Amino acid sequence: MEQIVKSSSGSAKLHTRKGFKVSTAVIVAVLLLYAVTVLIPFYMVIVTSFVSDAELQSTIGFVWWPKAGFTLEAYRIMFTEDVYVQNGLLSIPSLFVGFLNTLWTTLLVAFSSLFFSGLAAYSYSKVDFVGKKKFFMVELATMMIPMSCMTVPSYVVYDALGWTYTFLPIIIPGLLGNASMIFFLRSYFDQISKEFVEAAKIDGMGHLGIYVYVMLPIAMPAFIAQFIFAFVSGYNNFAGPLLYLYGGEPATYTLQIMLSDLGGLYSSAAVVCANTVIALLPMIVLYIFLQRFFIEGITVGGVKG
Amino acid sequence: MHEQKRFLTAKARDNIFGIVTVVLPLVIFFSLNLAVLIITFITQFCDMDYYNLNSMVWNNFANFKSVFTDVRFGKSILIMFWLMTSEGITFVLALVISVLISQKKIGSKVFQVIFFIPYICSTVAVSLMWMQMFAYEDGIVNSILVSLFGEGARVSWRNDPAAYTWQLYIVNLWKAPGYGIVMFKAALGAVDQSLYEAADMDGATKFRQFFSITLPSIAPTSFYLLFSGLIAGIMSFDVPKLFAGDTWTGEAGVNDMGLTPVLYSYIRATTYNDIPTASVISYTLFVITFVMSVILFKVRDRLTKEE
Repeated sequence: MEQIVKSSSGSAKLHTRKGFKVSTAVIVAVLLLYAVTVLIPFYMVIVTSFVSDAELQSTIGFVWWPKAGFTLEAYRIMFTEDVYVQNGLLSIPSLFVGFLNTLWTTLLVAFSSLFFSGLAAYSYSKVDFVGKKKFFMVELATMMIPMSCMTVPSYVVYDALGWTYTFLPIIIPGLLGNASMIFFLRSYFDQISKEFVEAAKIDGMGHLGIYVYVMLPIAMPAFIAQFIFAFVSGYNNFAGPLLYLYGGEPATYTLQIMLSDLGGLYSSAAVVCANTVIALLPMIVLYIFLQRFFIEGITVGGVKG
Repeated sequence: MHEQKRFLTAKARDNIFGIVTVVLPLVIFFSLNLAVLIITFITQFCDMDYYNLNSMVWNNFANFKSVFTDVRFGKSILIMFWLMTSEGITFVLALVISVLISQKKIGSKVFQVIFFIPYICSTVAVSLMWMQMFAYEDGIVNSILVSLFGEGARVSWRNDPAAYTWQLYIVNLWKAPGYGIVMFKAALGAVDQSLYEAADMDGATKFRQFFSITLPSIAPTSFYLLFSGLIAGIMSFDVPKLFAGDTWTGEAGVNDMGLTPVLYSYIRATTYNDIPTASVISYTLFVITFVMSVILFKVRDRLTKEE
């Protein structure tokens, strides 16, 4: 990655010296146009969430800017007159219930699978043990099995296990690590000199100690990138929770399930948009602050289902 | 720790630590995932009551016959291919935009940050936004169409079979390119700059340079993106499902115009409580995706080694 950044900034110097040209204006115009297309839905969802229902219903066409002024009515309804709270099914606004469910399941799976994937990657990279090559081949082979194709019929197995309407089907499969994480972390560990390991061994450290106190700090950027990928996938996961949790207790719904459910429950476009804004906000804020890690994490994470 | 050292040699400890740590991640695959693969494989050949595994009875390939002669399955495959062409446009769009960003004119950093945003948004939020965008009365899309071409240009995106699928198409075009832009940008930055300098000296045009230097250099990334785009196309489920809403009627959008194979298998499994045919559909996609994944994996392996 470092190399890529260096060489691309080198080329930047080469090109910008020529000064401002018509081509620059064309390029910036095209990029601006594309940026507008990308941003329009966000503009729509934010503006609509602040428009009063009366204005939405009386206006023909899209309300580009509320003439009657901005109102927090939609957010008030969302926070204080939640459908599920009013029906006595939940005690705090449903989107927060969803958010908390998503947060703890996603963080648990992300941390756990990072820890175990890292352990395996450490062994593949720095420990000599019998059958290492063969184990690695098996690990790679599992990576090529497109398990995501089986999400729908897997329901029958989880049902037989009694796991449906519980968090188990979204937690257990990722708990002990996954192949692509191992694969990525191993290639990162391979770049770390074996001398660090040898030096720690002479100091009397065991493998677990070396992994936690030596490798983890050095490989932190790799761990952060993988964590981001795991976190984004978990936060946005829809198909799994839809199959295994939807239709059960609302208290077990994840954020995305809650969001899609509320989308159908409210007739007010403003409230639906307010829900969407609140659900999107944490991820977008996180992305703006950690964009380098986001881009690294998601580009190495590969195909998202 | 010191106790252990007396009983076990360093070699033995290496073996135990290594094997335990690499076997742990394999445990779930070889229990849960393998169970899913085997059981759903068997259900393909059986009749079954609801989700009751004990009720399975051999039915002489009837599920295969019913799926492969099913008009709806055929339709879902056609819609899948239709939507997949958006992956091609996504690919070209991502390449063009990333080349433009790489020129490092004004604000290329800010542009890149913006272009990646749709990719990190959940499919649920994206679908809710775009359903609002496509709303008949006050959606932005119709507002723009009407202000440009008059009232006659208003489209009933939800209820017109000819328009319905285009919603899903446009959503994909909006969401997917961010990933390609970032991938292409990294690949473009890694192209050997001395090649361009040499070509400049030989008097090659920028146009010529793009086709004989840039494109070959980023070929592995292009191949990877095309293939992963195709796989994403095969697996298309979230957005079609969200646009279809509750599928208790068994219909995916008006006239089934939003029916993708994965969504159809979901409808078979939930609305019709029919796991066996859902398994047949899933396994058909599984085989196609598996073959593609093997190829994709080989490419990714090569990409990682080059880095």
